[in-house]
Amino acid sequence: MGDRRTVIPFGPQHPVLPEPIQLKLVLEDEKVVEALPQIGYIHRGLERLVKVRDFNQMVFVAERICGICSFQHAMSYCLSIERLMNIEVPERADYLRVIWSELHRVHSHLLWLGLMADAFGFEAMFMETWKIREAVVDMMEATAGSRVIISTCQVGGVRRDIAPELLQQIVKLADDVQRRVKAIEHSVLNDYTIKKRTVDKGVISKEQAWKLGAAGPVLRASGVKWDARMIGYAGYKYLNFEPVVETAGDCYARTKVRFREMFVALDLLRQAVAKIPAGEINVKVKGNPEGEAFIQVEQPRGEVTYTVKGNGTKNLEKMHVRTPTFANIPAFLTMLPGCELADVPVLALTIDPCISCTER
Amino acid sequence: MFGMLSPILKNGFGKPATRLYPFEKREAFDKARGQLEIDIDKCIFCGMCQRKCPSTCLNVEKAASKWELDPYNCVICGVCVEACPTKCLSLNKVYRTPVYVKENQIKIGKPPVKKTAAKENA
Amino acid sequence: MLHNQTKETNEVQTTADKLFAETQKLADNGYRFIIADVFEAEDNFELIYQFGKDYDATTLRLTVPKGAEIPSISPIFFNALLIENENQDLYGLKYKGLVVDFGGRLYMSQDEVEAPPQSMAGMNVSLVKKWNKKADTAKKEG
Repeated sequence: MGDRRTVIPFGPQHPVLPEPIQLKLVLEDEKVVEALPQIGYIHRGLERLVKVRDFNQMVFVAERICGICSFQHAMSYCLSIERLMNIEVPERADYLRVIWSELHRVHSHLLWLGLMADAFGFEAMFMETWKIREAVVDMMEATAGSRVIISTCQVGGVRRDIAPELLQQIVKLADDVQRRVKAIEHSVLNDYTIKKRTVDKGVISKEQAWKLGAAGPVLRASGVKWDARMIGYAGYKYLNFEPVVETAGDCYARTKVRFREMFVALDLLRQAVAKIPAGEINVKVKGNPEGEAFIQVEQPRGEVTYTVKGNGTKNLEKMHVRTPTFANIPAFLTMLPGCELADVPVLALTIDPCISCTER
Repeated sequence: MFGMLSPILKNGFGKPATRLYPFEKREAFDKARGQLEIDIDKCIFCGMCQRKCPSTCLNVEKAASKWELDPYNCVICGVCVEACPTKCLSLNKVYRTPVYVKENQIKIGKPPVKKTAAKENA
Repeated sequence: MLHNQTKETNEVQTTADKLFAETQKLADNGYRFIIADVFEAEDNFELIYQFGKDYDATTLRLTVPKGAEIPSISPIFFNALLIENENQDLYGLKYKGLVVDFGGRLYMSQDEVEAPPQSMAGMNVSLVKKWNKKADTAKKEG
C-alpha cells in the first residue's frame, strides 16, 4: 500500500472553510497519513501599520485583525499599551469591557455551532443557532452602535457607556439566550448523527495539547484547565467563574466545551451587570508608550498574545499578535494523520479556524 | 430524536424570524452609527479630524476651505466626531446604501475669520 | 518584559549556541512554547522566545547579527515551525534544522522574490500620493 499515496489539496476554497487555507493531504486510500498547511492567501501586513499609524489609531487596526473576536483584539491591544504606560483604567470601563467581551464570546460560539452543524448537513440547527445569534448581535448594535466591529475600546478605557436600562436588557437577553440554547442542548449533545461524526475523532491527549501549544477550547477539551481569563485582566478579577474542562480530547469534547462556555459567558454577563459600579469610563492618556509588554487574553477561539514595544514616540516600534488559530494549527496537523478524508471538514471546524487572524 | 421537534414545530407554525425587508424596516437603535455628516458652516478647518482618523479617509485643506471625505474608506468609528473642537461633525443613523460610482464628498465652506485680522479691521 | 496585570515575565539572557539547550531544559520542566518575536535593529536582530507554565511566562532573549544562522527549536516544540517560517519570510532570518521548511514561501506567492523593505510596507498609497502632491504645491509656491 505504501506506494499508493495520493495528494489531495483541501482548500483554499472549500464549502466548510469561510476563509482560504490550503491543506495538502497525503492519503493512503481513504486515510490521511500526512498533512501540510499552506497559508498566505490573505496576509495583509497589519502589524507593520504601526509604522504609519499612531498608537491611538492602531486600536482600530487591531480590531480589524479578526471580525468575530474584534472587541477582544482591541481590548488586548489597549491592555498592552495601558500596561506600558501604567494607566489605571476606571472600574466601570473594566466591567464594560467584560460585558462586550462576553457578548462576543456568546455570538462567536453560536456562529461556530451553526457552521459546525452546517458542515455535517444539519441545516435546521444552523438556522436555529444563527437566529439566536441575531439577538446577541442586535444587543451589540443597541449598546455600541455597530453589529460586530463595535469600535468601543480605546487606550485608557472605553468610548461609550451603557445606560442602566440597556444593562437590564442585557440580563433579559442573557436569560432569553440561555432558554433558547437550553432548548437545543439535547439535540446537539445527544444526537446520534452528531455523536457518530464527532466521538473519538481527532483525539489529542492532555500532554500533546499542552506541548503543542493548543489554545482555548481545544486545550480545555483535552483536560488542561487553562483559561487566560483566570489571570484576571480587565474586570475578570472581580468575577467568579470556572473554566470549562472536558477530558476526552475529541471533536465531541470540543463541541461540548464551546457549548458549556456559552452558559459561563451568560453567567458572567449577569454577574457583571449586577456588580457594575458607577463612575468614569475612561481616563485621559498623556505621553507615549515606552518599553516592552507581553499580554495574554482569552478570546472565543482561545488565547491571544500581544507583544508590543514602544520607543517613546507616538508610533510603536513593533506589535506582534499571536492569534488562537495560529496556535491551534500545529495541534490540528497532529490530529489529522489517521483520520478519514470525510472527517477532515469536521476536524477543521472543531479548531474554529480564523485564517485572517492567523495571517494578519 | 425528538429533541429538535419542538423548535421545528415552533418555527413551522410560528411567526417568521425574518422581516420582509424593503417594505418593513427595523427602526435604527439610538446609538446606531450610520454615516458621517458635517455642518460646514461651523467648521474652522483645523484638520484635527484628519490627524485623528485611523483610516485616513479625511482631507482638510485650510487654504481652500475644503473638507473632503472618502466615505468608502471611512470605518465609521466616530473618532473625528469626538475630536472635533467645534462639534460640527456628527454621525447619523442611516446606513450607507450601495452605489454605482464611488465619489468623494467635498464640502467647501467659508474661510474662518481670523481673530487677529478681525481685531485689526475693527 | 512586562506581563499581564502586575507581573513581569522571568527573563533569561542567552546566546544562539545555548538556545537549543535552554529550550530543552524548559521543555523538560513542563513549559510550553507560546510565541517568538523579532525586534529588528540596524545590524542585528533581537529574538524573544516566550514560554509558559500555568499562568506565568518565561522569556528567552538573545541578540544575533544579521545573516547569522539560528538553531530552530521546532524539533522540541513542533508549534514553533509556523512562527519560525514566518520570521524567515518577513525578516529574512535563517533557521537551522526546521522541521518543515517552507523556504520563504509561507506567506508569499511564488512570484514574489523577497519581502518589501520595512520603510515601504504598510504605507497607504493614496496617503503617499497626497503627501507628494502637497509637497509639490508647497515647492511651487515656496
